[in-house]
Amino acid sequence: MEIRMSGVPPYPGAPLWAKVLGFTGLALILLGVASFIAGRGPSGHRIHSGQDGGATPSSRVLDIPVPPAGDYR
Amino acid sequence: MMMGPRLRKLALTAHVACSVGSVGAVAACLVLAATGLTSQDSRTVRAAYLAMDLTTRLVIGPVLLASLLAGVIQSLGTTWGLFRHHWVVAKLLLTLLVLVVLSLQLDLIAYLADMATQNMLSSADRRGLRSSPVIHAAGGLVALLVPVALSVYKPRGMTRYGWRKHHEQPRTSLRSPETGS
Repeated sequence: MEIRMSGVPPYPGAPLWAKVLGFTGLALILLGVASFIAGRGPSGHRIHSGQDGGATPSSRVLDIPVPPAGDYR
Repeated sequence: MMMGPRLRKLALTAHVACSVGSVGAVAACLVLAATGLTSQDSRTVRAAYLAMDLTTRLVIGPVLLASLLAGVIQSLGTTWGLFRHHWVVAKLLLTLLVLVVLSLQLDLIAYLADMATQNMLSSADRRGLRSSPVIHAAGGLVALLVPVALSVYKPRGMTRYGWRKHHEQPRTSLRSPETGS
């Protein structure tokens, strides 16, 4: 038998709703961390960064005008 | 330190206004994200992402931070405490989680707004990218509605720390924190 000298009754434990909410939140966090570690990033996709620090659309790379072939002298 | 009734009501008003306001702002953001994903009109898509970028940066972020700060002040200045009751801790953690996810989404939303401004969002391969704000806004809305419900219902349940503090302190009042009032 446990004797408590301080007079504090034993802790009854967390209520069911708190356990359910905690486990659900933990599962969602683990899912998010797993998708982040998997290399897909927080948004699910990588975003290409430009030299100016801003986001540069990957398709813009294809928009660079290509000079016509020929003699450039 | 316990707050006086005037200060307590001021902090409560700020906390309720910011909490409920953030729910409305995230709901508006969800509509904008869904519009950006589903609309076929490029002008509508551009307007949706630009509005979403402004809303997340200038409304949702600051209002969520204000809600968090007002909630912490409110809990520390009343008998509820910050770590004494499960529902207070759950509210704190959920708001923090939404803030972290929002901060992780800010770059993507700015990127989408930038792309929309340059009319580069027509290709179908960016559908996955555009669906991310919809999923996160919907999740954020649910995650912010739970604290609102917790504030109203105040479900029973003390933390281990709160249980110990409650039974250690001298009984000066017949009112129990477990009863909520």
